[in-house]
Amino acid sequence: MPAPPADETNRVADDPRAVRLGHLLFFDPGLSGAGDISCATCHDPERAFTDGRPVGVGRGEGRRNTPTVIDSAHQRWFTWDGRADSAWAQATGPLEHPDEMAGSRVAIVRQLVGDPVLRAVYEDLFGPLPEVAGLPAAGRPVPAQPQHPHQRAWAGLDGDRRRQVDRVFVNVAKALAAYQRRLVSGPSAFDDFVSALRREDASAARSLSASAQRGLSLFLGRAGCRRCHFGPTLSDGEFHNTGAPPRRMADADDAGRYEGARLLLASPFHAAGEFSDDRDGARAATLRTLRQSPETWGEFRTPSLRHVALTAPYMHAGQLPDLRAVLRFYSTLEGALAVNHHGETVLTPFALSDAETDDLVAFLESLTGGAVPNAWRTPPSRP
Amino acid sequence: MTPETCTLAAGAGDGQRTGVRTGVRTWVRTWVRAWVRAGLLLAGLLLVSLAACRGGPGPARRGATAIDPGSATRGGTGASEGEVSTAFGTWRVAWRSVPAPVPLNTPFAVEAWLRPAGGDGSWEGDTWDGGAAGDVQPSLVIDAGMPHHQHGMNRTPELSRLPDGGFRADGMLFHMPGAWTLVFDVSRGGITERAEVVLTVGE
Repeated sequence: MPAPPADETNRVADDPRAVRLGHLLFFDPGLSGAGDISCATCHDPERAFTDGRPVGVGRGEGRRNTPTVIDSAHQRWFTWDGRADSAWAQATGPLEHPDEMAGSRVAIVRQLVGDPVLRAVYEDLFGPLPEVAGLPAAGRPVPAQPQHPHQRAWAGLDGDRRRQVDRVFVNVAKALAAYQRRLVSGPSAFDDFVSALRREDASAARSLSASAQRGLSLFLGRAGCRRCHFGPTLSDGEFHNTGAPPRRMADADDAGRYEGARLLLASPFHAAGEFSDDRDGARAATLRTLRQSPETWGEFRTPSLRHVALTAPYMHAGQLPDLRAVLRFYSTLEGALAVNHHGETVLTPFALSDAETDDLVAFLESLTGGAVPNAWRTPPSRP
Repeated sequence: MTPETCTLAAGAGDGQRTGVRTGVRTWVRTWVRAWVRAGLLLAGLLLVSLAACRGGPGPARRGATAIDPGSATRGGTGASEGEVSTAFGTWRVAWRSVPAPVPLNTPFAVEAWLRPAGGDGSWEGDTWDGGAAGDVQPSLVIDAGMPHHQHGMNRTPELSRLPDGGFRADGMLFHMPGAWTLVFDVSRGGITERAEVVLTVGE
């Protein structure tokens, strides 16, 4: 794997102090509304930074599968619908989402100020935290619910105070992103195979099983996986309508990228916004060409296939329990959901035999890389 | 890149394990080399594959004084520049990608110049200058899609004018390998004519 691309929108993305702060925050349940849910609750390091559930369960039950954050620094878009265009913009979402950590940015400022360890690390990196005198206990913008207690508290703050709180909130998210950039996987059996071929070392190349090599041939050829799964993370990073049957009929109307693009452009935390450190850069330019069309209804981001064998269940809502079920679906398209009449037709049945399914599974299992170093999988020490 | 690799990229048959392994080896070697040379990702392989497997047509730049009367409305595969006629032959469109060749899953731009067909074949003056007094300037929209997959790009390109009167579309993105259709819609006086170029990227 090459190193992740730089994130120019986050000036502290590679600052060790930000990594330290983000590491502390990732495992800190104090960021949640009730003080009992941390990022690591759903992104469990012992489950390849996923939760093993079909959909995330925090304060409530979500609609989407919890993706791993390993190697996420390679992503162009974040979340299944791409509502965030940077890791830090993504991090702002779960902290406040009522079904996830159900926290609030005002309470997070108070948490930092009240925790001497967090405060010291934060202020060493970003400078003094604002005074909390006069701040409510909790507050965040909830414009769609004017009577929500968080919205009322937020509306009670003047513009300068809101801006102070937003700045701290964004800095927390940027520190979380800096930590997550360190969550990279080690070489996989497939990487070793590639290296052996590069050295023209035929004996080493045999370390990839014959079954996995047949699976690779299918992956590149008849199965057509390569159309969307290519590059170092085996993902084009873009959005497609897979037609995967919904887990619950109530989820059949999930708009996917159609809504994600709208949310992205409406967010104050995108790459062209005032909190970005590269408002005129390439990521910001991408926003100007973002396509919002009915064609994107029901599209979801192509996930990485690195360590895919560790991240069951699969698809955007965890509809399919294991890799065989995924391959069965793509091979037959049984139960495929035609979510609209604009849907793309990338997928065509290719009728895998049981033996071929075994081979493709063997190949996908060969993409499991070395574990993230233990130091990053456990909470950091606190002095 | 060898023909063998081209075959593999198009999909190796089963039961040809030795050939597949050799093809995979070549594929990987080229992949890694492309990374090292250009700092590209796997898209680098597909770029190289495109260039090596398909080659490119002869140049068709602004300033060329002879237009091939046999040029089809639909351009050739794998091209990074060329000339095409609109569907009813009213316009000629000279175009090029920036960078060239068109990369896989990496943003690129397309630059294009228009001239009325049936003139003296010259690109003197660089582009359509409005013709006779009172003529309406033509407009140009550049877009692309994968008809075989029934989807377009995930981007809406930003269109601008070049200092010499040409057109430029920034933010193009061919995010999948395969056949893409690059379209040029030329409009004037309420009439739009389309020119198309089929480009195969990443295979």
